[in-house]
Amino acid sequence: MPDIVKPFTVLDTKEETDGSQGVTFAITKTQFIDDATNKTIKMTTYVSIPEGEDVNTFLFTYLSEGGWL
Amino acid sequence: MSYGFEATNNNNKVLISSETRNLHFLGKFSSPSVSNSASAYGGFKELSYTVTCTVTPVPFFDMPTNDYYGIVGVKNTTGNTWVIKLIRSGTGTTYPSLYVFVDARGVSSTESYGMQVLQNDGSASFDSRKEPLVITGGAAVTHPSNPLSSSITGLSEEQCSSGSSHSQHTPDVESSAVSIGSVSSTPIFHYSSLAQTQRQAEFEVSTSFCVGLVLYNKCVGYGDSETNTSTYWAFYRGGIRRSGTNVFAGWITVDGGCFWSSEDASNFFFINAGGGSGTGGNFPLSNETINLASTAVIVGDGTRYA
Repeated sequence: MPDIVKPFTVLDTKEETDGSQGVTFAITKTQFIDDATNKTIKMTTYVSIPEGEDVNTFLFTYLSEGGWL
Repeated sequence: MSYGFEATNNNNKVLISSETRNLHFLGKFSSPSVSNSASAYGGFKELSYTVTCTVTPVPFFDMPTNDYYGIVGVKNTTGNTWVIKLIRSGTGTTYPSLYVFVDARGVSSTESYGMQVLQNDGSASFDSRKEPLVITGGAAVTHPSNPLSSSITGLSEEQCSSGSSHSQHTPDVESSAVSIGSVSSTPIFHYSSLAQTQRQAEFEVSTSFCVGLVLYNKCVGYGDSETNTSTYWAFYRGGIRRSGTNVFAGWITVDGGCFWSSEDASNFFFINAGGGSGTGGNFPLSNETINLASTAVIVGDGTRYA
């Protein structure tokens, strides 16, 4: 993955028994409702990333498909 | 061993010895009480079986459904009374029978013939009259680290209002098949639920309102912000299920819940009108899995012990 500003933060990683990486990450999204109101949504969750996959690339694709990016 | 009796199999493994104690059938228990239960995230039931015996009982169980099962406790409550606890996944009302074995000192027999092997203190280490336990197979199972195949997303941030009716915490991952060899029509299993895991996800929304004027994207006058946070969690213990001559190691949801917080903050002409907050540290289990070492599954033949 190119060296860009990531829209998510990896908070913790751990190796799972099958070789996968367990990743706890957070992502934030801001919505401007109108001139006077904005809303910031943050999600912190966990996902297993298959062995050999790049964490950043996997999360970027995963979050894009989930509508977060 | 310079005296006594020893019988070995063709792998030179000890079957009977005057130096050890074989297990013998104490009884079959089929009417447990339900000591705990929940319906969220697949549901579970904790079943308690009360057993009276003078020595430590060793429980085996059959698996009457396709759910996951595991022994979670063997406790001497008072005198010769023991409570054996078993958990099963799901909310069904079909419960396993418990087959309890103890060493020969804990079982009586009225048979007048058979073979008895004594230890040097005169107590029986083996007694063919007391239905000795026959092991027919065994395996070792390892639970998958993560009980969930997908991450938890999209739940409500406000006051845990997604509740526990969503299915995102329902475990859906199990180990690959582990063969236990040929089995009878009623195989019985000794398996202790040791593995534990917890999964959680936090959802937060902060909404900022400007009641005054917005100039150059800055709020001039009175502004207000509100933050709502909900953390949904579930706790799991290991279980096994049987399909044919295979067992699978999976997860049983034994508890679940949610924690929420809400915070308001106000500003007036860029001046924080009060309040403040901070958080830090770790919870004891936060998306953690423990006791994942492989666990023995010992298999017997329940049809021998009616």
